[in-house]
Amino acid sequence: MTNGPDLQAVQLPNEQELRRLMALADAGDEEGLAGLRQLLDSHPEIYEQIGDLAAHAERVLIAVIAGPNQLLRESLVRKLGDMRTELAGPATNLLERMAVERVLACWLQLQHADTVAANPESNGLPTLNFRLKRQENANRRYLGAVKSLMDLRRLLPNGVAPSQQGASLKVFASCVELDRVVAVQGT
Amino acid sequence: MPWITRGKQQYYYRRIPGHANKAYVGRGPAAELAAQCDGARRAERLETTRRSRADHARHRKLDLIVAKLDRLCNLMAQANLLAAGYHRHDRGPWRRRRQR
Repeated sequence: MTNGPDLQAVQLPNEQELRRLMALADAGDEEGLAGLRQLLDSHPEIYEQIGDLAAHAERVLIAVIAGPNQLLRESLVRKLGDMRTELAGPATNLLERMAVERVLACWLQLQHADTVAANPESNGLPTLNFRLKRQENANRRYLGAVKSLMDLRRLLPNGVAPSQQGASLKVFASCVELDRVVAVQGT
Repeated sequence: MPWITRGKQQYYYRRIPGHANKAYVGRGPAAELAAQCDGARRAERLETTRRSRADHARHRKLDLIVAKLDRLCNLMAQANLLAAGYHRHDRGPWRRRRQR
């Protein structure tokens, strides 16, 4: 696996405090809400850390999915670039960029889970069970990431600019296209 | 264990999966050959299991990265929505809080 940010090192600044303020704000506490806004404003660097983590996840997943196949690797890189452009558009804020990177990483993970699950080399029931659960988890995570991006776009439109109408449909179309590429490579 | 000595002879028995008793195979060269085949199959099975476990561990490690990213992004999205004045009741949709 390639070198990347240490998972333990990537932490939200004062996560407990953030969660406490979130609980207060959720309960309608004005001071909690003010504290939450201040905490978010004072730590913009967290987006950079999350961006690093997303880039690392992307690199590792591409390396694992493509293996030594340079064509597949290049296809994945280009496809992700296209998806990123279609999903994020030219003018986006940090929050939306983060959500887009999350969608891309989850999509890659789902591709990997699907590829592994489709491997005819079956090693018994426990392995099949593990693969199936992994596929389900990846799918759930991907759908959650897409929903979160849609929520952010719908509810926080400031700085959030969907690049074009029907971007999501285009992404799903490109997913299908990539599936074809993977299938052709696999045969 | 599968070889049992009675008197001066050794007899080879094969375990039956899921059963307490074992099946008699024989003695002499035929039994030795059967024992070798069983041993090879057992070694192959162990190797497959070892490889599967290594694969699972590698995949779990991979999933851990995405899980961490997912958790952090989710937390930040929720924090920003709350800071913008939205709330969620009982895992329902995000709604703007009513002005008091």
